[in-house]
Amino acid sequence: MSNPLPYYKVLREQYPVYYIEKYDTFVFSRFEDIRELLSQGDNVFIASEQTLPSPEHLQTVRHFGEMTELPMDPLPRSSNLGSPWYEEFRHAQIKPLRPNGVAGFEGLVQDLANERLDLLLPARRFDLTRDYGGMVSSAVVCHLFGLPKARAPEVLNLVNALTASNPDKGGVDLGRLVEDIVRYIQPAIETRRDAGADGSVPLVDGMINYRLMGRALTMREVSMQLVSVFVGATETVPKVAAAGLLELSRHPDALAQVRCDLSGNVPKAVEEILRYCAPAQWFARTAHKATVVAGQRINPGQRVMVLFGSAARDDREFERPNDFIWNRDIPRVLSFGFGQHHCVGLHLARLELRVLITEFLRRASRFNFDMTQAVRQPSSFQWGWNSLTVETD
Amino acid sequence: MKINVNWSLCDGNGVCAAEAPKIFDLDDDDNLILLQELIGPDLLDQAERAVRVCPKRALRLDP
Repeated sequence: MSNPLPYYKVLREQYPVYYIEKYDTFVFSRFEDIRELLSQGDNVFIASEQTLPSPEHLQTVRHFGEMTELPMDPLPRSSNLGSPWYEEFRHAQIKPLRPNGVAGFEGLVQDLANERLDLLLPARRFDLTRDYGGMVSSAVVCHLFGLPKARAPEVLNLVNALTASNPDKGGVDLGRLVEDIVRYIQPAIETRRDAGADGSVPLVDGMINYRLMGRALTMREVSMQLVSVFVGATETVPKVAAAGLLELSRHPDALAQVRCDLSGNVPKAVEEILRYCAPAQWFARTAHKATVVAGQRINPGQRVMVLFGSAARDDREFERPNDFIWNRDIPRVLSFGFGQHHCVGLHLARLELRVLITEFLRRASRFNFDMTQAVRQPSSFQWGWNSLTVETD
Repeated sequence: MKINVNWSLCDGNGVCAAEAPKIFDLDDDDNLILLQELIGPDLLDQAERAVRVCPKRALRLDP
């Protein structure tokens, strides 16, 4: 879909709980309803059919009533598991992504951003999504996974290719994505194991040293559990940073105000940029227990889909939601999801966005965008600027 | 009232500690520390805000 926003508005206004019979799926588009849905714990909803099930899967697989959780052998990806397993795996890898762990990345991200700007600014014209944010975020991913920084372009290409929507069948080919990424990262993970996994690459070492009911995971299993971080940390931030700078350039008064005090104002602007430009449009869950959301009864086996892109434009939550207001008060957000699967990388994302935008504004005194070259591929999942050419003075 | 923490859900994001610094803190590894479990009327507002803002839905306020 090239622009889902008009459809979201119709859904919010006329069909806030929209049932798609052929997928046996309820679609939620209002901010408060999505928050209510994702607040339900106790394994009422589990992403046991993937967080992004394909249309083909939803159409061909039907459940009638009783749901059982996935078996642990072969070990599924943790995102498909309910409590307590989902949390066990999450806690094994979360250490470098917590606030104090991320604070230690500030210097690294600043150096990476400035290295890129040293290369890019003299050319006066470059792709802000790919060549700036993309290269910085993928270099950070390399750091998280113990890969050499020189592999950042490879990481970026791999993730971008695998997360594009399938032009024939729609949706993302998750099976292929997981297999290709596992194949790519497993050798690095084996290297960490052979080196002793002493905790100096905490994301990977934490999973290597984790014991599932007393047993160590195989290196393939470790790799599978790290796919979400690998993808999420690579592809999201560059789109948000580029879109945020585009919005600032479209609002010269806002840009001038932000420039007055970069360290004070950029973090505030980042929150509005996240609301306005966060690219993840939806996620799905399967009900494992009967429940009611927004007055709608949902039976075990039925699916729900939450439209985060719609929630961010809900005028029940945000005044003038389609206006970009850099310093608006944002007491509640769903840009990072909510509840059990709340984005594990939110602190890193906020840090990268703050540094990318601050350093760009600090060093580029004037800039504009060549929108004839801008690319925003239709996507049912990550909808954002895949390529955004900026020209600097 | 009593604060109930679902320890397995908590990620240590620290949002509650910002809202209610007299009730919650984080240690150097971002593990949550519950400074007081029983909440008197003076801290009830803070506690309710913390429960509301926790993005992981890991907090509950029980009678």
